[in-house]
Amino acid sequence: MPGEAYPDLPLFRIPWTALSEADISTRLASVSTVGPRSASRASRSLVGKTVRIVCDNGTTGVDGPTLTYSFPTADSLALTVDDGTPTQAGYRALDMGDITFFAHMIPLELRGYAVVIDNHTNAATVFEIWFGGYEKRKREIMREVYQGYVAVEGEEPSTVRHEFNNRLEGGGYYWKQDNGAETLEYYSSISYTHWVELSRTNLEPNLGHSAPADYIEIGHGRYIYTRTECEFSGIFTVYAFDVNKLTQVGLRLGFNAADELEFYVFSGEGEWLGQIAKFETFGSTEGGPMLPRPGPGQTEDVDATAKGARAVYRPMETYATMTKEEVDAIVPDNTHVFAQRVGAGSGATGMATNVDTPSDKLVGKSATIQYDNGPTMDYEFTSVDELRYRKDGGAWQTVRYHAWEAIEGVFLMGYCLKGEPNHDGHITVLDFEEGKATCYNGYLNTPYIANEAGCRHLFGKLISEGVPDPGSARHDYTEDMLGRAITYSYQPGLTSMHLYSTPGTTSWIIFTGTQQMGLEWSGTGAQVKIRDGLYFLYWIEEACNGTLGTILLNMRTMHDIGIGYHCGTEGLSMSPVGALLRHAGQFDVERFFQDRTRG
Amino acid sequence: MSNNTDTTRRTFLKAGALVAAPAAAIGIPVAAIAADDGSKAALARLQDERAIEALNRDFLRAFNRGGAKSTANLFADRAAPGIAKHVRRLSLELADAPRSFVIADDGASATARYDCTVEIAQELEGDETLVQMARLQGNAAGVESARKTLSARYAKGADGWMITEIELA
Repeated sequence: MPGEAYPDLPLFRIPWTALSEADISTRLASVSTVGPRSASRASRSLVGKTVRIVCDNGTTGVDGPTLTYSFPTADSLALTVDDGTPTQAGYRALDMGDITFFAHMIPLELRGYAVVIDNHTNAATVFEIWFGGYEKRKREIMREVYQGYVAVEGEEPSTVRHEFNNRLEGGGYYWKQDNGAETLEYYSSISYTHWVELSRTNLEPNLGHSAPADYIEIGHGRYIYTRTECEFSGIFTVYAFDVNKLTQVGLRLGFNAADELEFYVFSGEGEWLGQIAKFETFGSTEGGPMLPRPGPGQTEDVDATAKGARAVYRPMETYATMTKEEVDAIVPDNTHVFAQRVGAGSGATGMATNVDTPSDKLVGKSATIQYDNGPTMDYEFTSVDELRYRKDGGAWQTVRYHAWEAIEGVFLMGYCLKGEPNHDGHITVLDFEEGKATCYNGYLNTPYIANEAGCRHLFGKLISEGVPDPGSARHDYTEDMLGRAITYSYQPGLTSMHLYSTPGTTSWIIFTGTQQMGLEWSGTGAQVKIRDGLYFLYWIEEACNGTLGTILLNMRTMHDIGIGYHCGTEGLSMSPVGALLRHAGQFDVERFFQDRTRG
Repeated sequence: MSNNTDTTRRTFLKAGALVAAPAAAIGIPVAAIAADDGSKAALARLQDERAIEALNRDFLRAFNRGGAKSTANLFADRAAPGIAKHVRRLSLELADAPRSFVIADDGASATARYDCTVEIAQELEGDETLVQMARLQGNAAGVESARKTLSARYAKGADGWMITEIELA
């Protein structure tokens, strides 16, 4: 059942209604003849004109149409596609300097067009948009992009074309629409985007989400951006914008969580949040969209030539979810801690290529951690891979562990507890220099998917011989990483960039073979400061793979050590990950999260 | 019986260029064509060679852009060829002659063999999220090049020349 339009939930937790084509058609019927709403006064610049737009082939190679429009008023048009029959529809137009943007649906159909015209060059970009094209989620809007020109009688056809390229890659903007909607938008890839809703929800902590995007250059600092909220609402947003004037005009179309149709044009104003590094060869401007091209080992059946096709990461298609009963049955006898690779999602293959040898410096030590918001843990480290622990003074247990020393006296340690109803694992920073400990306490049997990890953040003091008493001081959440982007190279062909887009979000972007930023996804996370330049981070691959990933990141050495905690059909595993890092830069976003950065 | 032309690449390309030009411009007397002294058949043959060459280019472009499935519309049966998934890119040596190029006497079918450079990707192993995403966008742990022979069969139908079979060996 649909609820609020924008509930305070992550988008991947909202039970999106499976709208049928008939549902969608019914909702469109009342608006297609009227056209989109607009908070601002619509432009009259097209009134009385006839505009013929000749399109090249689309991005997938499909034939481009010729669209002949006449605009008798500021809200009604007649459209003839190729040599077809004219159709009446409602529309709205908005101007931005030389740019005219207009959009409309076609009555009695599930499709329409959004058009960007540069009146100076007569170049045009046409987005054909339609519902029902993705069989599994008909509310998700498809789009085909055509470049073309406005034919002017008596003039040679314009040879200027808008162009897909990578010029926007790595940029970030804050936008506020004329209807009050505020977003942070990270153009973090050539084909994906990451955005944060600042006004539509009061989600705490605020989360960013990722979706496929188009990035098209008009010229002279003006661009076109699209976002399709695939795997979520399916809402489509397109806008033309000027990076120098920081203005935008565009369209939002689709169904929100209440299944209400949003169909409006908007103008807006923005702020530049910064620019992070690009990693392509100097001079390379190649951009998206990425077509679905399965690599070796990828079994998904895709067709790159189908109209509207593009690469979309659909994580739930490959996620083997389990019930609580299944989890509880398999984990006790199938818990693999720092074993060799044990199966899907173990994280013990190429992502461990750059992991150092576990430290033996804890061997022979004993320590106690008193967590302020958790148990008291006593430890005896009996070997490089075995420790004894007891929880809250209970019975001693012997388990396998590994630890790595990130800087002198600071270790990252991981192990799984025995006999816990939710199969807890502790991934802990032991700070023998300052007498502090911070634990990301992974656990299973979470409310949504039983084999998806949850994470408690435990802060405490570390008591051991010769270790100072920190008093009330603890490691703490930090703003240092907020807006920052770090690349993690695990092995050839496998480099990911983390973008810490909000205090509670980690987004990851996969580099292509030519070092463009490509597919992107994101989950909840946290950022804790251990020292200047040493940060303890985590993320959860929610509604994706279920893994709790942790990283102890050293920005002085640009190296990390991390531990993954994952439950799949092979059981529960804890595995090391390690990468060689680069700092890609940092967006200036702290002001948007004041009072929100302290967990 | 087939007519093996033993066409060199140079003559093949030259022939293609000739086809692109009007008959008069390439020195074929219109009267000769009208008299059907063989020039008409020769011109038709040149047109066939040119069409097959364009078909090859389309095949390579489609394969390198979207994989085997993207080439299905170039095949007579509209089925994608069975080229191994780890082959990620094909390139023909355009400056070289085909190893062989034969158009049947009836002009309805043809066969050809080409030297071909194949990029073979080494699969990224694992099922972690990052690995799945990397594979989905075509990443590989490494790429090696190998010289292969591309064998092709063609058929001419109502819609012109189509590929009937492609084999990489």
